[in-house]
Amino acid sequence: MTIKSIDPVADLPYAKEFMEMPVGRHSPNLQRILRFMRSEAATEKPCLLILEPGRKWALVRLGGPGEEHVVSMNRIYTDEFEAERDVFARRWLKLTGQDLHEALSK
Amino acid sequence: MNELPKLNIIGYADHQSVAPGDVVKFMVSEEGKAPSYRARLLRMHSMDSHAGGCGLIEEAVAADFAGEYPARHQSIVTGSYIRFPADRQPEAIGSFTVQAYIWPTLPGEGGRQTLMACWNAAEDAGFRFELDEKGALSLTLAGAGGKPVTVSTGRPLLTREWYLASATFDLETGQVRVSQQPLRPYPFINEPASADGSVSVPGPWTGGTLSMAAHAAGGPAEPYAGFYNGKIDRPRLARRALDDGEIAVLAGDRLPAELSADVLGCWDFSLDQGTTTVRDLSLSLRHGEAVNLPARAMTGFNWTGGNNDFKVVPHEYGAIHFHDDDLYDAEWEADFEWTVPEDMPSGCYAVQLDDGGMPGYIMFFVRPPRRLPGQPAGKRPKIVFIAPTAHYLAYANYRLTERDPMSEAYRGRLWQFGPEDVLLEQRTDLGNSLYERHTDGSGVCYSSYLRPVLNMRPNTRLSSLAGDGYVLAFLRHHGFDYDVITDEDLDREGRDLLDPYNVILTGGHPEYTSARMWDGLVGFLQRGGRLMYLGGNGFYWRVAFHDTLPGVLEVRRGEDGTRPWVAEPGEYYMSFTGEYGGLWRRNGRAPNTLVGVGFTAQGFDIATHYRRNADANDPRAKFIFDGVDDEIIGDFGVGFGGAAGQEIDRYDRNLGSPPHALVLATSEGHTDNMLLANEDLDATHLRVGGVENELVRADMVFFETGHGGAVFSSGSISWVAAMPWQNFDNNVAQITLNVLKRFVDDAPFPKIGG
Repeated sequence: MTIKSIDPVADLPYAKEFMEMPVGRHSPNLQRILRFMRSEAATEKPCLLILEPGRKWALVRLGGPGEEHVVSMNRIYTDEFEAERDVFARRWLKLTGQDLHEALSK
Repeated sequence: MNELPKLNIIGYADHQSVAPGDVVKFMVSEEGKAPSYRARLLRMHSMDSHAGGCGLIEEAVAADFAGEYPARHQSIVTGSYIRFPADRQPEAIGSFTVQAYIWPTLPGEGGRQTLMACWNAAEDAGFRFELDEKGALSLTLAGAGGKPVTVSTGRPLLTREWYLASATFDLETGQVRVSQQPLRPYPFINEPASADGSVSVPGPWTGGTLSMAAHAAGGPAEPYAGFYNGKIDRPRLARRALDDGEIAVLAGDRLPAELSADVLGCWDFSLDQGTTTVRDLSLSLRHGEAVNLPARAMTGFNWTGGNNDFKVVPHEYGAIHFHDDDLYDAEWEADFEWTVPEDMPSGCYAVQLDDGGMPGYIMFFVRPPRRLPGQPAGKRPKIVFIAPTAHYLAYANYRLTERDPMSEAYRGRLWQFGPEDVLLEQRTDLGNSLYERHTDGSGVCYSSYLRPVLNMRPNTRLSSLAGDGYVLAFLRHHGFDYDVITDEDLDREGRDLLDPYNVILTGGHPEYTSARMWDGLVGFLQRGGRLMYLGGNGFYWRVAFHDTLPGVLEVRRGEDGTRPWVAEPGEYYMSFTGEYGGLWRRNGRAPNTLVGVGFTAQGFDIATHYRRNADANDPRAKFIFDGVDDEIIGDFGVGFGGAAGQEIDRYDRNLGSPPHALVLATSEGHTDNMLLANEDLDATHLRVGGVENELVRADMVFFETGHGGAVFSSGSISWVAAMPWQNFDNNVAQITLNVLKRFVDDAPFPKIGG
């Protein structure tokens, strides 16, 4: 059976691993989580619209039928890795129902 | 945040490479509401304002076209079809038969699709042989002022199945017969179907416009409509209603003598491959013109699989594949033109279009003056940069791949894109890159620059322009004089064009190479030239420019390779030249034979560094590491944080890397998102990532050619993006500078035999 979920308890260490190093050599379990998170439907997928190359990005998602082609998610970043962490936490919340920052602080 | 930045002004030039004395036209369209715009000329010394780089360096240059122009919107109609000149239109159509083998790819989608028509748009009269809204074969007839009558088989055609499709009309009796005969019938769902009807329409019709794959619509903005998606093979038109036996005979390879007097058109698409001409075998000589480059050299209904070369079995390649999103030339009206001054320095230039919002750019290159064969080049710099316009064409209007749900997982990071990519998402009429699939899912094999190309601008993500700009900025930083030529120039003029120079510099990603380009480079090296290949995944795809149509490139994504789509079986030979397309590696010329390394892996999460090898201490390499004692090279850069990343190449004797080449340094520390190239994966397995697979590495290589010249290869796209780090004061830039200084020097490298 294919694995189609994230376990908010068993997978928490890998979430911690991501928050410490959003890009780089990741453990197999973090790679699994990321592949799952990143394979969501295109219209739900958060993306970064470049406002200033290498300096400033807007969080957007691609629009679905009847929407603008790109929909603002009303968030600006000045650090790429901050964007990666924020999106990871948003997805964690969506998939597990739990606040990642809160879980990691315990 | 409510307002996202938008690009509203776009345009293109009628040439991508211009020489002093040439006249170049610029076409512009305003997509917003600005009433006017200002145009000015810029010389581009770099193309990226990314943090950590050298910044965007634009130099304003005086040009007589500079000034304010009224803004207007110019539209584009995509879709390929066949049209006929006025003197080849049928004088009158009364009774008739129309037939063809067809292979529809989107039956029942997007409305009616015309297979062949002779339609008078002004009077709404004539016939249209078409697929109806449900995808069933139908014939629509109308007399002037009358209501159109359609007879349909009512049975939708299956996608990607061949049919013999025909329709007959007898003017005297009013009898109509429409017939679809599947070549591969399936019980219940794909059986032969026909429909008979009796209609009353006035005829014969005159003033109709004959066409295939679309019909005349009459309007100046949209002269044709009803674009068809799919293949057509052996289309025929006769002046009377033929019976089934005659239709079968007429569907053969040649014009049957017994029917020749009745045949108005008997087209053979297997002739004139690679051109826009479609040849009529009938006595009418009703030759037509294919518009917007539908795909040619396509397998026909009778392709057996016994041979893949259309030159060997031409009668099995009688099909043309039409697409409703094909586009060769947008055919906009010019806003202004410019005669390139005789003293214009060679380089990269842009017309900047300012409508008060985000500026538009039209990029082009000024090459050295043209000369006749044998004519001296005069005094030229010793350095030439080859602008990879084949790459730019391949990536022209590369659309957001985030629409593929797996694209982010594949990349290993959030997708990033710019406002130009957002506009491209909105504008499906701007044509495709060679990375796209057509509306019907088939791969895009032609790309042109005679249309706005939105990712040819500073700071764009989805082309190598930003990285290539760092090479130009590096040359400027060190005060080197240089010329710029383009891939298309090299394809047209070959080695002679390279004769004045000691050293060629490539950009970061010279991925697409024609045979004439390759031969020109080999010729240059054989006369002692030096080549600095500063990229990765170079010299990878064998492509073809067109001999007579300017600015268009063909690729066939053949049987192997890391590729966004795969050519259909039997469609590996390029229509423009008849060459077997696909990877150079599968053509007996792996890039390793030219530059010592060849594509091995790609990944876009991080880039890493190189570590020096023992070969770096070889006396032959001493000049390369002059002033560079570091063990680690390139652990920095704009291109994902290192000099070894994105797409990387390896030294491999089995692929023809020269045995005497020095492997100076090798990358390490790649992640599992740096994945082994498909062509190195004989069968699937798990050891494809950079953590475990020893083939996932970038090799930096140097070798002498044996003719007094030499080659240096960085083996990584990210190399050029590391060069500007800390104002070009770093070990990547120093190595590049050391190599360039020696390569510029006339003193020959050791030759074979001393």
